[in-house]
Amino acid sequence: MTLGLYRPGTSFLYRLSARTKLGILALAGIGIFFVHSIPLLLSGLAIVLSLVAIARIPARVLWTQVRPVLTILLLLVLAHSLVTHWQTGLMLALRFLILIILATLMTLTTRTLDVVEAIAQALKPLRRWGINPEQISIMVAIALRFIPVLLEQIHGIREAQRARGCDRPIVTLLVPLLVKTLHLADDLIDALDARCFDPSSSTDQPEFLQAQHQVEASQTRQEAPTDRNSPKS
Amino acid sequence: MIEVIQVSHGFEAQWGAIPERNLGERSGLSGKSPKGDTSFAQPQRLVLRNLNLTLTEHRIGIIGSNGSGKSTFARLLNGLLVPDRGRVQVEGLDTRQHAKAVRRRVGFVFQNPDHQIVFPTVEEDVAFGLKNLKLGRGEIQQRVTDILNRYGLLEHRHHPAHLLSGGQKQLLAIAAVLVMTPRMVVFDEPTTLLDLKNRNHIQQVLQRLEQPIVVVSHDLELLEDFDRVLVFDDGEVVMDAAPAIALPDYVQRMTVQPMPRS
Repeated sequence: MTLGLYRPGTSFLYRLSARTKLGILALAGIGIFFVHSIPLLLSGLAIVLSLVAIARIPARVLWTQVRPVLTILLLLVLAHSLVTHWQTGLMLALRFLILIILATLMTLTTRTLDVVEAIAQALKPLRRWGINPEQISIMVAIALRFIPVLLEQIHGIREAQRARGCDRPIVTLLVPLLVKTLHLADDLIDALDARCFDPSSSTDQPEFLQAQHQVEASQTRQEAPTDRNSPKS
Repeated sequence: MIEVIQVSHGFEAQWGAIPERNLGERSGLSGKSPKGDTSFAQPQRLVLRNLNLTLTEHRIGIIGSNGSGKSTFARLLNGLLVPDRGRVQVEGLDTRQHAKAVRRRVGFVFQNPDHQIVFPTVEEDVAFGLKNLKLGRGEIQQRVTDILNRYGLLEHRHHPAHLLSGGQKQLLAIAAVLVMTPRMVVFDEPTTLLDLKNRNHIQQVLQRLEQPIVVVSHDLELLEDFDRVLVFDDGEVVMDAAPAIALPDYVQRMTVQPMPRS
């Protein structure tokens, strides 16, 4: 899963600020739908792939992120070739592929906290209307953090239901999941409180880990091989 | 030092009963009950009743059966809960008026690390509390590195928290609290979800802490070398003694009658 799959590195994609990358991603996401030529889209794909190479992301890592989507994209092309025209399908598939690779690049080269801070920065003008960007950025961070936790809970509930002979637990999944999630939310509120989180306050130190990031960038040059190990259990 | 003075707290939610939140206004706690006492008719019941304690020892254990009120009690100690009646004072600060100051002084580690790790990666989660304390960048990075190093998590600093093992998650949860240098730490069942090896590791961590700690646990061995053990039963402290006395007493209380054969 791509979530929080940041890989420490030093190439220039890492040095770009999260805000810039987020902006580029947003612009690309809009702009690409005005491109209606397959050769242009193919060259776009080539550019994106060369970015992957520049960032020194191993092909294997990219492949694990992209592979699950490929089947859907193939089906998309197939469906379009039956209903409209295969070229339309290919164009759509290429657009999605480019955006997915770009987004993957973003997650691989940007730490979540930096993304969150970038979002908070971007939302700052909304403060005038009483919206607290700090709260929104914390919400995003928590959402990212708890997706795997919720998936684990779903897995647990399904196992428990299968063990009791419930073979199609899609509908019956919802109620226990909701109850568990509400409990989880209660615990989370306590945890935020216990660690002195104050949603009404805001710090104007958006990139408070930035300096450290640079220090680490110089360290990871030597440590890169060990950093690639995923945590052992 | 934590003082618990004349504390009664809450109704436990039970089927058929609506848990009341504003006890002070609506219930007998304000003195409106006919007899003026603090007991209530079923099915509502008090989770904690009339506790008076002064906690000064270095390591204090809390045991009791499920629903005996020990987790509620733990949450009173750092102001996560405010008692419906009575007061709790941490170093002279009332948890009702000085909730923030109290939480800075008293750290809290919850049972399930998955429910208290707030940020997606290890480093970010540890930095979160420090950011809330409004520390500068330099100090934050220094403290984060130090604490991750001390608990053997430095090599995982950029890893997603959900990929850590259960023991590592609990260590992360503890590190994220200790990095804020609380004067005391409350642990709510810190070893319940761990395997034996990780449990032993956490025990070692607890033994080496400089701060006074209060540990709620079902793990009696964990509390054997503590200075004081409180046994909770139905919202009351039924035993308050050294572990050598309190633990065997508790084991005896919990003896189960043999099940009838069916």
